[in-house]
Formats: sequence, structure tokens, C-alpha cells
Amino acid sequence: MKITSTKAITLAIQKEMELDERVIILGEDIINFGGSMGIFRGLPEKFPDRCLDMPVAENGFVQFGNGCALAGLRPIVDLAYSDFSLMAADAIINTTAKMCFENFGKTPMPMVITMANGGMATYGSTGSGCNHAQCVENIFANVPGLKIVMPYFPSDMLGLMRSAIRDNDPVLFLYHKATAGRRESMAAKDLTELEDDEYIIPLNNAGHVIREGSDVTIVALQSMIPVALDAAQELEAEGIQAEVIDPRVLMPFDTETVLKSVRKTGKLIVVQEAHSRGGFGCDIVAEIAQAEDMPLKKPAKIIGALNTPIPSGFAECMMMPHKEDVIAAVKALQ
Amino acid sequence: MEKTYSKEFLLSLYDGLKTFRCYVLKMHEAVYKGLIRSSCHSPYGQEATAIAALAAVRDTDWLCPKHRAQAVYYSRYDLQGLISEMLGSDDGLRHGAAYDFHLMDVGEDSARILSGSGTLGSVEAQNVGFAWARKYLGHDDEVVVQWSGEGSASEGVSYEAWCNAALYKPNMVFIIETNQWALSTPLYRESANPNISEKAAACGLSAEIVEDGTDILACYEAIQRAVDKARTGEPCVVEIKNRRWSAHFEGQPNDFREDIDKVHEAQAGPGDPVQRFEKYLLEHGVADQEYFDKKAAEVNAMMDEVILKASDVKPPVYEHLFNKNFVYATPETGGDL
Repeated sequence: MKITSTKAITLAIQKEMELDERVIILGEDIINFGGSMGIFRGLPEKFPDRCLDMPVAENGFVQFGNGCALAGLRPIVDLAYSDFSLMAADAIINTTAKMCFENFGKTPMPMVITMANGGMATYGSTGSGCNHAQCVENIFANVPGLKIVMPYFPSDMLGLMRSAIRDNDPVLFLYHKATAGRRESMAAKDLTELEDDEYIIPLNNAGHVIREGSDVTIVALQSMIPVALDAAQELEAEGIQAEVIDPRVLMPFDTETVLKSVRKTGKLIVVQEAHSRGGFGCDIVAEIAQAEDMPLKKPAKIIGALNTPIPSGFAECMMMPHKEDVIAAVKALQ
Repeated sequence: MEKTYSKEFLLSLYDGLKTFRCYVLKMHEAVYKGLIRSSCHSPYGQEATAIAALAAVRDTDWLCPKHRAQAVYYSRYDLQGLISEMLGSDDGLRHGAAYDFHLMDVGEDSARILSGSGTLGSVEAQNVGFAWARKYLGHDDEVVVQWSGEGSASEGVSYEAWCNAALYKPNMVFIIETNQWALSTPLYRESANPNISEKAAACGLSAEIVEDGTDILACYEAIQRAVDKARTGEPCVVEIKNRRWSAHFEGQPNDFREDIDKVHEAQAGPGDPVQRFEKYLLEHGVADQEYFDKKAAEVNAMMDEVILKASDVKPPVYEHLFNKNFVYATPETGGDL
């Protein structure tokens, strides 16, 4: 039995909409398309009064969502491509993130802002160019008041989306456009568990060791998880045991899970699809480097995309990290 | 035909106007004494709009006063708390961290005040969603009144707000005060079209212009019509044309202005909303000079007493301002400060 990321997100939202009538959806292309990536497909038919098509004006409709949250609804605001979040940066950074503080914690801002992060070429598809393929998580990670969820596996999409909707703070829910159709094989009983009303993954302490190993810690962000897992498998053939961690949530970041792993391995590699400079990987390395018992025995390494705007078409994959980059980095540390 | 009003109503408008003018001048004084450590955006010369709007709304309506309608704050909050807040004191309404501009209170039993945003046009768009959601939640007898200036109206997001309002029909009134200045930029360099409300009308909202915003009764009538219309589900715009006498915030240079002679002329009487209304009240036999003098002395003494008490400024307290519970409503999933 298999479930795709898209279906997992839809299922999570549907469940929460059934449980709580304050949950509404707004954004572009909601009613006829179920959102431009299809994550709301079927929901406008089920909840016609709770799905709103908004004009092509991201700043204005994220602000509309802010107002809905302030008034007591729990809006899910869809931004389609994560690049479009920059059109709404004022709404998200100057309003969404500030409201709780402005009212000294008395007013919750329960909203989820969904967006498809990253490029298409990671898995061999064609890229859509420099305004449709960027990773934006690091931009918002510097804004207190926001929470950032960035899962990879469909079951995590489901459990974390449900948590995000129930959370009383604004959560940026970044799914990855190249992994939207990714399937996760599951046993039938696990699939039944996903349908359960209480299948929910908390936002805190969300770091997840997805492959155990003792020689090196690889923290892989979202789309880089299969890259890291492929690399780990090849390294195993050469006798190197890599531990791979999926943080799943960047804000609040589960430093403890990474720290525990690096205490064991003494080595840390972060692989991210975002540009290598100024990305969230820098933050992860900084967290570990600042630990009281600083467990790094070798220099840490951040592997990211080239620091250049993203080209369209097949050229996109030439600037993205590949398993060979990860393998080479691990070997250089041995 | 000229509309007639009860003596009681006219005097309550006058008292409101006189109190607001007194508040404004006392805040100027506080700025020059060095008592205010943040920006004091002065509504000097345009006080009629806020007082007219306050007379037109119900207690259950929501107000977003932004830069130049501080009367909204003290009419719904405690004046002592507001002035202590302006002086940055720990015993201010928000422990001296909000001053007036970032004050907000939106619970069910709150003062029903929506905060401004330092980036213009933003809250206009936010409050369209807020007004829509209140109506969606069944509160369809409430109205949201949103202030803006012509500067805000140049922001792209203002158009997004107006378009969304025209599409989703929240109970909302946009008051646009065209006060001739966006910080240091005169209206003719801000907008080729001097009728700012026509831009909102192009998005599908009905709009009315009050050509002389120093006439408090004209302001009141237009805003009352707009509020009534909004309450039936037709969002609309009232543009009030007036003149800001002070700089963008008190203490900024203001002498570069080419219309400074017009300001002085207005202050001499014909363009002063307070003196103009006094003239009306005298002509209609509603009040006499003795009443005006008595009211002036009364509000002056009251403000002085409040300011004196507030002058004992309590310094900001770290624990009252910086707490995870203030940044996140679900602090357990909020990480460290």
C-alpha cells in the first residue's frame, strides 16, 4: 500500500476540517484546481463555504488570512510556489509573526501557510527557473514568532500538518514540489493508523534518525533525504556507517537529536538544497559548534546548491547537490 | 436643507474635539521636554475626523486608528494608561513597549482596537480579512473602521485590500485622510490623481469625498452614512481632505513646507476645526464663549494631572516584555528566545 505526499497533506487537512469548523482554506486556484499543487483537491467540494479563491495578490491575501486568524478562525493560506512567499514577505514577517507579541501573548495567531519549496530537477525532472525553484526556509528562520515545518516523508506530512493546524501560532508548512507525488510504501495497518483521528506528530523534538550509523552524522533537509540515504548505502559497501537525520521541523529545531548523534560520530555533514551560503545548514552547524561539550572531531561540512540563481530546464540539476558530493565529503573526513 | 442636531450631541462633539486638541498639544509639549522616546505622530489640524468617527460608531465596532486618530485610544482605553505608555513607562498599557501605534486589543471583551503597522497598507489588507471573518463567525452587526492616509494609498497592498473588500463584502469603512503630506512628500508628488478615493472606487468600492475636513459635521455625516452602509454589507470609502499642521512625527523638521503659510492661516481660525466649530455653535446659539473657556480650563487641568502622574516614569522591566509566552501562544513548540 502506498500513500503520496500530496494525498497525505490533503487527508490531514480534511481530517482537521471535519473536526474543527474554524479551519478554512484560502489562496489562488483553490476551487477549480485544489491549489496549484493539488494539495486541497476534493476539499472545495466537501467544504464549499470554507474554501476561498483569492486574487493573484499574495501580500493581500496572506494579510486577509492574518485578519481571519486574529478574528478567531484557523486559516490555511496557500502560496503555491515558495518563491511567492516573498511577495507576501511583508504580511508574513511584519504582521503574521508580530501579532502575538503586539498583544502580549493574549491573541493567538493560529494559521498555516503552505508553500511548495525548492526545485523540480532534484529528481531528474526539469527546473522552472530562478523564480519558481528557490528554497526559502532560511529567510523565515530568522523571524521570531514563526514556526517552520519541512517534512519529507508522506506520513510525516500528515502528522505534522495536523499538528500545524492545531498549533496556536503561525506555522509555515513547506512541502517540496519535487516530492509532492512521492510515494511511501506502508503496511496496510500503518495506513489505517494514518486515518486515525489522533495520528499527530508534535512540532517539538521532531528530529528523526532515519538511518543509524556510527561513523558520520548526515543531517539532510527535505529533498536531500534520498540523496543522503543513497550516499549512506554506497558508503556502507565501503565499510563506512553513516547516520542520517531528518529534522522534519526547523523551528523549533531539535538540536538535541543532532547533538546526540554527533557525540557518537564526531563528524557532521549537512546537506541542503538551498544555496550553501547563509542557509539553515549554517544554523545547524553553529548550534553544534556552540555546544558546551563541542563534539566535532573534524571540521563540519555544509553541502548545498551553488551560490548562483537557479537556471531553468535541465541545467537546474547541475547546481544541486548529488550523492557523489555527499560521498566525497564523507570520505574527506575519514 | 441643513441637518439639525440636539444640543447635547453638538456639545459632546465639541467636548471631544476640545479634549483631543488639548491631548495633541500636551503630547507636543511632552516631545519637546524629552519625555517621549518614540514617535509621536501628531493629528494637529485634523482632529475632526477621529471625533466624528467616534460619534458614528458603536461600542461593538472595531477601530484601526493608525497614525492620526489617538482619540480612539483614550476613548476606549484608560487615558492614564495611554499617557504612561506614551512616556514609555512600565505602568503604561503595554509596559511602555507599544507607545500608541502598536496598541492592540482584540479579544471578545476587549477594547476592540486593531494595531497599526509600521509598513503602510498592511493592516488595511489584514483588517479586510478580520472584518470578513467576524461576519463569517456570525457577528454581522459589527463594522471595522480603518484609517489610512494618501501615503498608505500608494502602497500596492492597499489596492489588494480594496479589491478583496469589494470581492468579499466585509462590513468595513475605509477612512482615507488626504492631509496633503506623506511624510515630506506633497500630494502632487505622491499622486497624479488628487482624489485618492477614486483609486479605491476603481477596485469596486463606493466612495464619498468630504472636501473640507475641518468641518466636523460634514465629516460626521459622511462617516455615519458610510458606517450605516457598511453595516448592511457594503464596504465603502470616505475620503476626508484636510491638512496636517505638524511634521510626520512631532519634532521632525516642518519648515520646508511650501504650504506653511496656509497652515498659519488655518490656525488663525478659518481652517481650524476647533475654532470653526466654535463659530458654528455660537451662531446656532448652542454654546457661548464662557462655555468654551470653561471647557478649555477643565480639559487642560485634567490632562495636566494625568501627565504629572505619568511623569513618574517606571523604567521598562525585562520580565514584563521578554517572555516566550509573548512571542508564541503555544510556547512549548516555540524554541528558545
